[in-house]
Amino acid sequence: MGNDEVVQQILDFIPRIDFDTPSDVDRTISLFESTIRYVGGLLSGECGTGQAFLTANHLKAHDLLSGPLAQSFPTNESTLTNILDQAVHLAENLKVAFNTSSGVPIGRLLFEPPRTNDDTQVSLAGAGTLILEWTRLSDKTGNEEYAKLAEIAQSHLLYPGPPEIAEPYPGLLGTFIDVQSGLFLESSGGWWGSDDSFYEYLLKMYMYDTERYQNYKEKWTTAADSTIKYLASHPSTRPDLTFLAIYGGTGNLTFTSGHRKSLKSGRSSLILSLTMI
Amino acid sequence: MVGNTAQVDQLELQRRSSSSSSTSDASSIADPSHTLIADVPAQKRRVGLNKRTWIVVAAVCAILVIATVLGEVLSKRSHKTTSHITPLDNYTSNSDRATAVSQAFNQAWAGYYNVAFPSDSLRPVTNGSLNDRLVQLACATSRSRLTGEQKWLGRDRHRCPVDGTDHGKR
Repeated sequence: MGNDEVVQQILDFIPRIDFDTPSDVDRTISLFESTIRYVGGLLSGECGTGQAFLTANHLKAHDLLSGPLAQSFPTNESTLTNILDQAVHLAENLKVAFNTSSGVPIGRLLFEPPRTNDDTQVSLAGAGTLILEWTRLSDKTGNEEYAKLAEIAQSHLLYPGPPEIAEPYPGLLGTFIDVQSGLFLESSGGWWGSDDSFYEYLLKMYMYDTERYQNYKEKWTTAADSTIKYLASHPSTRPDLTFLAIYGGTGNLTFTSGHRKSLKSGRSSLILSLTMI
Repeated sequence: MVGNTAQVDQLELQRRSSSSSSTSDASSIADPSHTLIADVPAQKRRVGLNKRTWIVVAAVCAILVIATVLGEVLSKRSHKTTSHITPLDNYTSNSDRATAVSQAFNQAWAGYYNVAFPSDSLRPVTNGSLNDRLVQLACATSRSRLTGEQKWLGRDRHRCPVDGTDHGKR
């Protein structure tokens, strides 16, 4: 929009964010929310300092200040470093969440000092919507630790067990996972709040690096094919509309919809575009 | 001299195939066509007297038709090529919308920055802010909408994907 003033206001504020001190020390901090909003936001705004570690493929993934704004809003190295430092600082506080015997993270933390609460399970989206930000952080800093933590967690979702519980339809998974064993606890799911961003990130990882994450595309297309085959339905009065059912397990569909189902049209077009690859 | 030679070639072609000059090279007969277009009114007066003139007029018509068709094809092709290289983006093709979005953002940001930054909530009536950096208001208002789904699954499905609180939105 060409509004340099707003960009500068935000850039001035970022180094002053205190990622150590919650305003309420007893209130839990969400690994998922902190990752997708703070770490993701910082990383997509910043760029530059870690480029020496990037492959040619990564360089295509431009971030805001080094991509669209590079010409109109030139930034110096220290500004970019400040942003990346804040992302690293927050990730260092959050990484204790992955300290379980399986590597599947606990979703809620307490700060001062950073530690997990006593949750025994986490949702599919809670454990499976981290890989992009944590991988990007490693690619930018050259510190592989962040990506490895997320990859270990993700491996329990890419190759889920036990099969009869974890994967009621090919590529479509259950929702809750035991954080110590890394095994799925039940078979309900669908394209909604506790699950959907896991599927979204399969596609995004493939788009991030089509060579490194080729298997993510396979997982996405398997889920998309099952969605079309098992979950899609059309109201008899409006055959032009497509709704996606949620499931309680194999063959146990519920045809319900909610306020967030508008996401489907966007993701459906992604399904269609990917089937052409 | 070149013009004369070309004209003779064209006539020879016309004799060999009584149809219009589909096999002839357009560039080789460009000169005679020009000289003859200027003379058309005069030739019409001599219609019937000069068979050779008739043939030349037919040739000119054929050239015009071919030129028109070729022109259309070429212009379509070049248009396609151009639009493929530089497609209109949304900012260009919907500049009114883009401007409206930009104005709406700037107004909202200015209001927020002036009275509430960096809090999460602005009080629009009193132009104040709420110290609410960790209060998740969204969860309370949307929880009731998912009652059916919660019943079906026998548990609170409207939980945050990670932490189990009810504010999770992706």
